[in-house]
Amino acid sequence: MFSTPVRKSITDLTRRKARASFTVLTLALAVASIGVFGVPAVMEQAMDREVAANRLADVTLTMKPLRLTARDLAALERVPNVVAVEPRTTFATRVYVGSRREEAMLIGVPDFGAQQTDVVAVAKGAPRAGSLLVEAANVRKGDFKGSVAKIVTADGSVRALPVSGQGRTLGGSSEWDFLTFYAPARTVAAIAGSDGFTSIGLRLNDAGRAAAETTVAAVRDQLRATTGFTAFGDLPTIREPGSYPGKTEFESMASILNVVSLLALISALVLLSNTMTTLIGEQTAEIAAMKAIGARGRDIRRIYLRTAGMFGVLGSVLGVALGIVISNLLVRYFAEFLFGIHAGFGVSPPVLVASLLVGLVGPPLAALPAVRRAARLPLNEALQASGSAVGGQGRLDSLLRHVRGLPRPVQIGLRSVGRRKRRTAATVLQIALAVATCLALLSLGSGVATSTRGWFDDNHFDVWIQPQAGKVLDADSGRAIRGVEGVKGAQPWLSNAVKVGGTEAQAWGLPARPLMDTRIEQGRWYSPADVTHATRVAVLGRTIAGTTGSAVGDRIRLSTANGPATFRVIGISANQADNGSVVFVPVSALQSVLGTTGTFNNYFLTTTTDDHALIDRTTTRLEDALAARGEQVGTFVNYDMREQQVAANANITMSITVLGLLIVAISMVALINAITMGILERTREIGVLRSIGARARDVRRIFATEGLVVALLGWAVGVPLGYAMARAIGWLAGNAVGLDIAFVFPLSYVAVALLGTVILALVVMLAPLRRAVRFTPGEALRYA
Amino acid sequence: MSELALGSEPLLRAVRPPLIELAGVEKVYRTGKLEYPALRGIDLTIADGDMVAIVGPSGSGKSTIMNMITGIDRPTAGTVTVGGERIDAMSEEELAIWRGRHVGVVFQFFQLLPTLSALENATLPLDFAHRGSRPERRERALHNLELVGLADRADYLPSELSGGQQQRVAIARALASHPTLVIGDEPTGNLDTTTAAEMFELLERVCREGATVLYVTHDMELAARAHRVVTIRDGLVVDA
Repeated sequence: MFSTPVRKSITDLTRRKARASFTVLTLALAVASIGVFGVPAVMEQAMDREVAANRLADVTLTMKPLRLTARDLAALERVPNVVAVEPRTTFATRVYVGSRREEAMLIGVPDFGAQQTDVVAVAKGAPRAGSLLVEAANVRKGDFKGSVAKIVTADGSVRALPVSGQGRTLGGSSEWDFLTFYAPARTVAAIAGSDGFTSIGLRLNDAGRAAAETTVAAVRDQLRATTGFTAFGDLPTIREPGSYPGKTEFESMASILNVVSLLALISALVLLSNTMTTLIGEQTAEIAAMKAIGARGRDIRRIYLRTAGMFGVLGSVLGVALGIVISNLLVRYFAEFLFGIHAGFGVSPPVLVASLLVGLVGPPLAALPAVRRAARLPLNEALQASGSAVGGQGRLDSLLRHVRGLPRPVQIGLRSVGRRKRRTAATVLQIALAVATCLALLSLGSGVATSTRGWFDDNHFDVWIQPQAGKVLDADSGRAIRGVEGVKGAQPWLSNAVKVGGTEAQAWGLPARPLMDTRIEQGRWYSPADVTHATRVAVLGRTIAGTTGSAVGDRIRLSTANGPATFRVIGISANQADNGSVVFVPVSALQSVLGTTGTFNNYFLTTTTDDHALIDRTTTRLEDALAARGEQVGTFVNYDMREQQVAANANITMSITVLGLLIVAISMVALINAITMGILERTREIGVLRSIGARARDVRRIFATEGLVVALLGWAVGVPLGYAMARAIGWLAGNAVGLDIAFVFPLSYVAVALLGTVILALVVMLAPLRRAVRFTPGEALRYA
Repeated sequence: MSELALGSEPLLRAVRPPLIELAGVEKVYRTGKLEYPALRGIDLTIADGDMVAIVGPSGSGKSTIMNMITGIDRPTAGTVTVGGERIDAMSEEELAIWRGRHVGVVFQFFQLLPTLSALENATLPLDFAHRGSRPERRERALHNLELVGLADRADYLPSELSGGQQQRVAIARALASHPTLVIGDEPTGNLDTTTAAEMFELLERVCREGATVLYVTHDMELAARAHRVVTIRDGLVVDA
C-alpha cells in the first residue's frame, strides 16, 4: 500500500513511542500557545452574545428623579431612531452586612417581564414587590449572604427587605464592588423616597455616534415638551457599536496577554526546533546506511520531512484542540472575573487557521537544517555516528572536568551538561524565558500595587462625598457636613463628564489648593487669582494630554453638558485621578461653564483622626446627617478605596500571571524532553553503569544533577533577562492602561524564582528518572 | 610451566569448588508478538580460578550465558548460582551491589564513559561500591592502570586514546574492585591482532592471580588458550 520510504517515515513515528509522544506534545504546546491569541476574539464573541441577550442600551441618560407616564415613554419610543426605551430608578445607599454598613446600589425595574434594555436576568427565585434580588456576582464573591437585606432608606431609617432571589446584569457589580440589588421600580422608589426615574436606557436603530447624539437631542426636546425635565445630569453615555462595559480594560489586559502568548510561542518553537534536531541527529548512522545503498539527498530529505510533517499533523490536531480548550478556559475565567458572566464556547477562525498553519509547516521547517546537515555529512563519518555525543573537548567541558570533590555520579551528571551543547543551550534558554516571564509578571504585580497605593497616598482627604447622579450639594449641605462630629475640614468641588476634542474625560473643578497632590510635571497649577476670576485655564492629566496631543500653552475645546467652552492648558499633571483622563480646572470656571454657580457635587473631607474605625464612624454620621436632610450621597473612604483597588489590581495581575504558567509548562516540557532524550540516547551507557555496579540511585543522581544544573543555568540567565523584561512589560502595561507603574524588582523574587525552579525541575524529572532505571542492565545494553 | 599447568588442569578442576553453577537455565526474549528462545536449558559448572572460553556461532546464546552469570539478564527458567549465591533470586539493586563487589565486565566496544578520564573510568566501580577512601580508590585505580601499562595516560579522555588503549582502561576498570570473576564479551573482538594478543595476556595474568575468567570469542586460537572451552549452539551446551 505504501512505498518503503513512506513506511520508513511512518515507522520512525512509532518505534520510539516516548520520544514521539514528547515531540507531539511539544508541537501541541506550540500550536496551543497560538490559540491564546484568540482569547480577545472569543471574548468578543461571548460578549456579543451577552450584549444581545442583555439588550444593552446604546445610550444611557441620567437625570434628577423624573416621573414618566406610559404615554411619555410611548412618545419617547416614537422619537426617530429609537427602537426601545427603558427607564430605571437607581438609589445609592447602604446595606448592613452583619454589623457593618456597606455601600449598595438599588436598581428599580418597572417590569421584569418586559425589559427593553440592560436586562436584569433572574438567575434564581423571582422578583416580588417589597423584595429584592441580589446581584449573583455579589453572592458568588461572598459579599452578601442571607435572605434579608437591611437597607438604609432615604430618611435614614433601616428597612429589612426579604431577598427573593438573584439577578444578573452585564457588569452589574464591577464598579467599586458595590453590593447591587434589583427590585420593582415602586419598591426602590419607596426606599428612595422619591417617585421618579433617574436614568433612561435607549436602544437605537443607528447606534453611530452622530446619529446617537442627534437622537439624544430629540429625546431631550421631547422630554422638555411633555414633562418637567430641564437637563440631563451628565453627558449621555453612548456605547460604541460592538463595545461593552469593561471592554477597554479587557483589551488592555489582552495586549499584555498577547505579549505573554508571544513569549510562549517563541519558547515552544525553540523547543520544537530542538526536538527535531535531536530526532534527526539520532538517526545519522541510519541516514548513512541509506546513502550507502544508493539513497540520494532528496530521498533522505523527503523521508525525514515526511516524518516531521506527520508529527505536524498529530501535533496540530492535539494543539488546536488544546488551544481551543485553553483559550476558552481563559475566556471563561476573565468573563466571570471581569464581567460576572458565563462565557459560552467560542473559536476564532483566523487564529485556528494560523494554529494549523504553524502546526503543519513548523515541524518540516524546524527539521530542515538538521536534515540538510545529516544529508551532507560525509558517508564514512555518518556511518560511525552512534547517536550519542562523546565527551566534548571545549572550554566548558574542560572547566566542568576541573570541578572536583563531588561524588562521582554528580560529577558525571555535571559533565554531561556539555555533551549536547546546542540542546543544553536551548533548554537553558527556555527555562530562562520562563523564569524571566515569572519575574517580570511578579514585578508587574508589585509595581501595580505600589502605584495604586501611591495614587491613593496622593489623596490628602480621608473621605470623598458625592451625591447621587444629577444632584448637587448647596451651601446648607456644606454647613451640615462641617457640623458633623469628627469632620475636621471640608473642601467642596465640582466634577462633570466632558469631552476634549472627541475624547471622553472628567472635568474636576477644584480649588487652588486641593486636598490632593497635584503632581505637576510641566507648567503650573492654577493660582488663587485664577479661581477668584474663574479664569478658563486647565491642567491636563497625563493620559488625556497624551491622547489628545495637547501641550502647555495649547487651547482646548471642552464639550460639556451645557455646551462647549475653550480653556488654555497651563500644566500637565501626573496625578492618576480617573487614570489620568482628567482635566483640572478652577472650580469657579467649571461652575460658570455649566451654569451652576455656587453649587458643588463633591466634597473632600478630612477627619480629626487617622484611626480607620473612627473614620468609619465619622462617615456613618455624615451619611446619617445628610440622609436626615433628604440627601443621599455616596461616600468613598480613602483607606478603604486604596485596599479595594489594590486587591482588584492584584486579581488582574494574578490572572495574567496564570498565563505565564503556560511558558513555565513549556519550559518544563523542554527540561523533561532534554532529560528524556539524554536518557534515551544514553540507555546503553546506563546499562554499562549498571553492569559495573551502579545502583538505581547512582543513575538517578547522574541525570538529576544534569537536569538541576540545566535548570539552575536557566535561572541564572533568567534573572537578568527577567529584569529587562520587567522593565519592558511595566512600560507596556503602563501605556496600555494609562498608568505610571512603579518598577519593583526585589531580591526576594529572585530567591523565590530559584526555589521554584529547583522544586519544579525536581518534580518534572521524576518520571524521566524513573524511566532511566526501568530497564534491566541487559535490556539497556541491547537498546538501539 | 604451561604444559604442566595444562596437564594438571583436569585434576585442578576436580578439586576446586565450583564458582558458577547454571542449572536448567532457559532464556526467552520477547519482542512484541515474537518469542526467541536464546537458551534452551543450560547446565554448566565452572570452577573457581578457571579460565573458560565460550564459543559458538552468532546468535547461539554465548552473550546470553554471560549475561546470566553476571546478573545483567535474568533466566526465564532455571537457577544461576555464583559463589554460593542464587543471583537469579536477587533484586536489581542487590545485583548491582553484588556485581560491584565480585564481578568485572569487559565489553567488546570498551564502553568507557566519554566524559571521564582514564583514571576516573578505572575508579568508577569503587566509587559506586563506596569501597575505601577517595585517595585509596585513586591509588588502586592507578595501580590497575599501571598494570595495563597506561599510568602515563591516566588523565586522558577515552576519545584521546586508541582502541587498544581504551580496552586496557576497560580491563583496569573491570579489575577495580579486585573481582573474583572477570567476564569478557568478545573483549578482543574490536582490536587488531597484536593488541588483541596483549589484552589476552592481561586476562591470563588476572586469572593467574586468582580470578575466574570467562570470555566469549569467535577466535578459535584465543579460545584454545583457555583452560576449558564451552561450545554453545542453538541455546544448548554441545561441548564443555
